[in-house]
Amino acid sequence: MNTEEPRLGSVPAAGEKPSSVIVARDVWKSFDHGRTPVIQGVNLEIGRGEMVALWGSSGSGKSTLLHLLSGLDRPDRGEITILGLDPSREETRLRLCRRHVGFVFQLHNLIPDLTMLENLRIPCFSERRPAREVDARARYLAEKVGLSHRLTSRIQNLSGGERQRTAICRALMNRPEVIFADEPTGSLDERTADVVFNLLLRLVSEEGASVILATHDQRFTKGCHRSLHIHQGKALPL
Amino acid sequence: MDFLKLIFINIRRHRLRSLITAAGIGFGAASMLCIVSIVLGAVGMFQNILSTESQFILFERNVSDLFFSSVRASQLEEIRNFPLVKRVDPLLVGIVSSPNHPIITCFGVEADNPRLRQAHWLHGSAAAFGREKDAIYLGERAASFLKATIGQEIPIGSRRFLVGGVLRTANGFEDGGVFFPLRLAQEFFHKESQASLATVELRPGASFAAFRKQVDARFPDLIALEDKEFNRSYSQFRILNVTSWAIGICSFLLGGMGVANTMLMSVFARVREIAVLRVCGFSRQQVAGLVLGEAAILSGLGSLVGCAAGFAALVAMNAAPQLQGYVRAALRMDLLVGVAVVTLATAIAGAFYPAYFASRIAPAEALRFE
Repeated sequence: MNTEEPRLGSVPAAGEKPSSVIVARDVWKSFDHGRTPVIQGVNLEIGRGEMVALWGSSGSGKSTLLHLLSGLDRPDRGEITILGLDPSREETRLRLCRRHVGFVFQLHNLIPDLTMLENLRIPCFSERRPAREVDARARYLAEKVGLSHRLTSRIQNLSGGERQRTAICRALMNRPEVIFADEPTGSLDERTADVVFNLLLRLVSEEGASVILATHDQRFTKGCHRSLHIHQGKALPL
Repeated sequence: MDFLKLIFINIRRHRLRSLITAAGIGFGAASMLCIVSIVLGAVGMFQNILSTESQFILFERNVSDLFFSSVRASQLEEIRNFPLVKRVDPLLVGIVSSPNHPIITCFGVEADNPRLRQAHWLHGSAAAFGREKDAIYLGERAASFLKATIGQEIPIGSRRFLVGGVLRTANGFEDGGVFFPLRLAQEFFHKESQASLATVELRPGASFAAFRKQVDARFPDLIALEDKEFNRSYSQFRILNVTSWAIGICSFLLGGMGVANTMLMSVFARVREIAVLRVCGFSRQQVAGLVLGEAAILSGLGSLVGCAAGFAALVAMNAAPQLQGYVRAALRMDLLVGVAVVTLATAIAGAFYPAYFASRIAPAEALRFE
C-alpha cells in the first residue's frame, strides 16, 4: 500500500507568487458574432486555496465563465491571468495545463478503451516524468478515492461514480494549484453526487489547491468558501 | 503513457473502418506494383530483344513504332561493309493471329543471329535453323499455348508452317513468339528485302560518334542510336512510362482522398476526446501526430497487404498462358520500397488536412459539442 505522496510538479512561475491565483478584469464574452452576450463585465479575484462556486441556472453562462477563467476560451474583452500568467498565449496555456491547473467535467471524459491507470498517466505524458513517479502518484490518488483495486480496469467496466472519481484523480495528477470543476456531479444520482463532491473538496483541500466550481445545484455552494450567482452575464455575490 | 497506444486505440476502436481503409490503400499499392512491374517488365523484355550483343540499334528515322520501320537489305549490306562494323543483325518484327490466339509476335532473323545461339534448344538446334523449307521455330511458351511440337504443322496467320524446333529464351516476348528465317518472314509479311531494324556491333575500339556520323551522311532516312539512348528516346517506352506515371498519380490522388475522408471522420468522431487531451496538456503538434500516426500505421498495413497481393497477382498473371509470358513476376526491392514510400506519402498527404483540423480544435468549443 502506498501512502507516501510523491512530489510532482514545480512551483509555477519564477519570482514572487501572486496572492491571487486567478484575476479577471472586466471580462466580456458573447456568441453568434456578438448577438448573444453571455458574460458581461465580470470582475473576479480568487485567492490561493480558496473554493469558489459559480452557481446559476442552465444557460446562465457559468460554464462559459469557467472556460474563460481556465484559459480554455478567450474573452472578447477584458483580461484574465492565472497565477500571474496570461493564458491567451498557446505556450502559456499549455504550461498551465501541464503543471498548474486541473479539470473535472460533468461527463468524465475519460478514454474508455484505456485502463484507469493509463487514463491517469495522460496529464503527465507531455512532461515526460519518470513512469515510476507517475504511477506512484496514480496509486496514491486511487487509494485516496478508494479505487486502488480498479487501477487496471478499463473505464468501460467502471460505474458512473467510479468514473467520476477517476476523473478527479486525473485532474489532481500534476498537483495543480487550481482545479476547474464544471458540474462534476451533474451526471450522477444524488447520493453518489454527494459522495463524489465531498471527496473532491476533501482531496483538493488536502492538496492545498483552489477550486472554481460551476454548478446549478445550490446544495454544493455551501461547501465552498464563497459563492457567486451567475445571472444575466454578471457574477453577483450570493 | 505510450503515444503509440493512443494511436492504436483508435484503430482498434473502429476495426472495420480501419480494415476498409487499409484494404483501400492495399488495393492502390497492389495496382501500382502490378502496373509498374508490367510496364518495367515489358520495356525490359523489349530492350533485351533489341540489344543482344550490340551497341547500336539502326532503324528508320521518324517512325513512332518499330513495327512501321523499314530498313532495306541493300542498306544493311552497305553498313556491313563499313570498316568500323563487326556485325549487323537484321530483325523483322510482325504480329499475326492464329485460332484462339489473337496476338503472336513473329521475329524474322538470320540463322547466325546471336539470340538463336544463346537460346536453350528444347527440340531441334540452332544449327538447323532455316534449313528446312517453311519451318518456323517456337518459343517455349508459344509451343505450350499452341500445343505444338517439332515436326507438327500449325496455322500461323493465313498459312500453315512446319515446327522446326522449340527454344527457351530468357525473354518473355521471345518465349511467347515465333522465330522465322528472315527470308521466310519477309515473304510472309510481304516485306521482301526489308527488315524492321538491325542491331549493330562495332569493332573493338571503334568510335561510336564516327559510326553515327557515317550512317547520318550515307543514309539520312535511317537513325543509329546507342542502346541506352534508344531506351530513353523511343516513343513507345516514353508513352508507357508516362502512362504508368499518370496511373500512379491518379492512384495517389484517389488514395489520398480516401485517407483524407477516413481520417476526417475519425477526427470528427473523437472531437471531445481530442479536446480533453488538449486540456491535459497535449500540444497541437502532438494531436496532429496522433492523426498522422494513425494514417501512417494504416498505410504501412495497406502497403504490406498490397505488396503481397500485388506479387500474388503478378505470379498468377505470369502463369496465365494467355499472357504468353509478357509479365515477369520479379520482386524488385527498389520497386517495393518505391511503392511503400508512395503509399506512405499518399497517406500522410491525405491525413494532412484532418491532422491540421484536429490540431485546431478549440477545447472549450469541443467540450460544448454533444
